[in-house]
Amino acid sequence: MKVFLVLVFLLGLLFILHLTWWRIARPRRGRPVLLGLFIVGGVLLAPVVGFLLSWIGIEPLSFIQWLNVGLGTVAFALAYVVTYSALEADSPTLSLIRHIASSGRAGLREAELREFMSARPFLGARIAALIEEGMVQQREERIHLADHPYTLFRLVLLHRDRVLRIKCPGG
Amino acid sequence: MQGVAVWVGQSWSEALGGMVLVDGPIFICLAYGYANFVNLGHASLRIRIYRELQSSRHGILISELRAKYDEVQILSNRLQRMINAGDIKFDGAVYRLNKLRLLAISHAIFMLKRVVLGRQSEFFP
Repeated sequence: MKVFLVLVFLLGLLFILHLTWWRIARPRRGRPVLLGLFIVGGVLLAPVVGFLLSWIGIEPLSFIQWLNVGLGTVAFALAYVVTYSALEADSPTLSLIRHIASSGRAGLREAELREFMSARPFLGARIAALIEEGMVQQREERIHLADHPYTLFRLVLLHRDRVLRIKCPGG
Repeated sequence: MQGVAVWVGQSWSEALGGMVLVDGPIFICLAYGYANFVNLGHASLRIRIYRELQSSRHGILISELRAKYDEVQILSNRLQRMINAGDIKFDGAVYRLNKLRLLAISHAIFMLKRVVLGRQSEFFP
């Protein structure tokens, strides 16, 4: 129960920090900054949380219990950073499902769905995001990979090809 | 984790509580993260663009990318995927919602967008 309380308190504080920072000035590269905030922030705030809880009468945590809190913070941080990608960029699938649902039993024709999609330039937004995040570079009318490799995307592709062995193009 | 804690002196009842309240959610978070990591490889446009760029030595013309991945193509891929998963149905004329699963997810995501980013859509702030 102590570990649960410390975890909830710590993650709550980190989430409040995150929301406050994002309201003041949203960072250009949201995902790595967010991961750093949860991990580094977690390490820095853990003693503060420990002190505050001991102040209200909760016994200090053992080393093993702090490890458990650390594992919980990292797991939550990873899950949230993955979710954050879906917050930054509209998902075509989720946007479509909301639009189809809003039509109720009447449903929507393909032409109506095409009109819906044409008002949402997903591809342009993705290219702009890749350029803004420094993963690709635009030179005149061409785009190129940035000089430094983007580790997460390379991992995803490696996993897709070697572990899942997916052949179809996806997207 | 709770096994280690019991080994160093924690009580069994605390360990059981720890498994339910802490280790269970940790497992769910890690499983959720992995499921999304896999989904990135399936459905992400950014990954697809990145892959195309990886296999092109001289870069790609933006107009070429637009021709290959226009909104009609994206729509068609997504609709087919949702039909295959049973999330929507097509009766030959119109598309209708069939399952609530994706809709529930989309409501949660759009609510979180409002809270974290202060807007519901990147296209319509």
